[in-house]
Amino acid sequence: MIYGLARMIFGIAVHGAPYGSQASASALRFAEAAVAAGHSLHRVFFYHDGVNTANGLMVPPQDDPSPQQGWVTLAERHGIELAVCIAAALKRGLVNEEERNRYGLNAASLHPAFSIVGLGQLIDAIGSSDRFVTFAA
Amino acid sequence: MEIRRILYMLRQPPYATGHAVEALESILVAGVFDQQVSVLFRDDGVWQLLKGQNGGALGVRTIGNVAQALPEYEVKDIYVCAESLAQRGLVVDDLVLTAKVLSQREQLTLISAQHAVVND
Repeated sequence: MIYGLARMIFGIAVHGAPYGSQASASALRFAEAAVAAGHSLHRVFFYHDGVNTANGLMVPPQDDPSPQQGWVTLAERHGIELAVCIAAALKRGLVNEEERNRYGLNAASLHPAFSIVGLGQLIDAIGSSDRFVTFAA
Repeated sequence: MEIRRILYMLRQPPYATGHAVEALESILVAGVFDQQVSVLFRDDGVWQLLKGQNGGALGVRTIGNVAQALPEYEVKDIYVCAESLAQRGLVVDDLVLTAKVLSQREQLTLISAQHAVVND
């Protein structure tokens, strides 16, 4: 359903930590609303403390909505890439199997629905979007 | 890919969190991707440009030095908010690099001319 707007491609950056900031939850609401209104979203770029959204070792309180689960569900349903900046992720202990092996770490911590990318993917997301929205920390 | 005009708006103080250094790092990277990148320092972000910083005393990088590297990474359009400077008792001579001072109205024009604004 489009409400008086042309169909657009949105790009989203999330800079705030889940639980510590409203950024991740607000970005998720925005993304859900955009998709529900008929717009499309190719990639969500997580940077700064926003990369913690991708922590696969979080155990959310049962009564609270999990921002991570919200992103994963949205991404799977609509084919959206959940991209985590490699520089911001590594120093916060967010590693996939490849990085875990590269650095000889005990475990991988990145949720499998998220991918580790370079900052060039942010530029690419900006370049391929009609509108780019930052959810700041 | 088509060249995009991307404005980074830096609003956070240099040392309270690790935010400023990460924001500047991402701008340095954006600069080498052949985009038309500009930076606007405003609110507490203007403190990032203060002369005489010494991050070493805190065991971190000196943010002013990182900011000074912007022109070397093809980020040459650097702006600072006039009102943010005045509110903090700062003048352009207090800053580590040459920045164009913009009024609120001029910032509106700058923002309107962008493809994307990264609110950092």
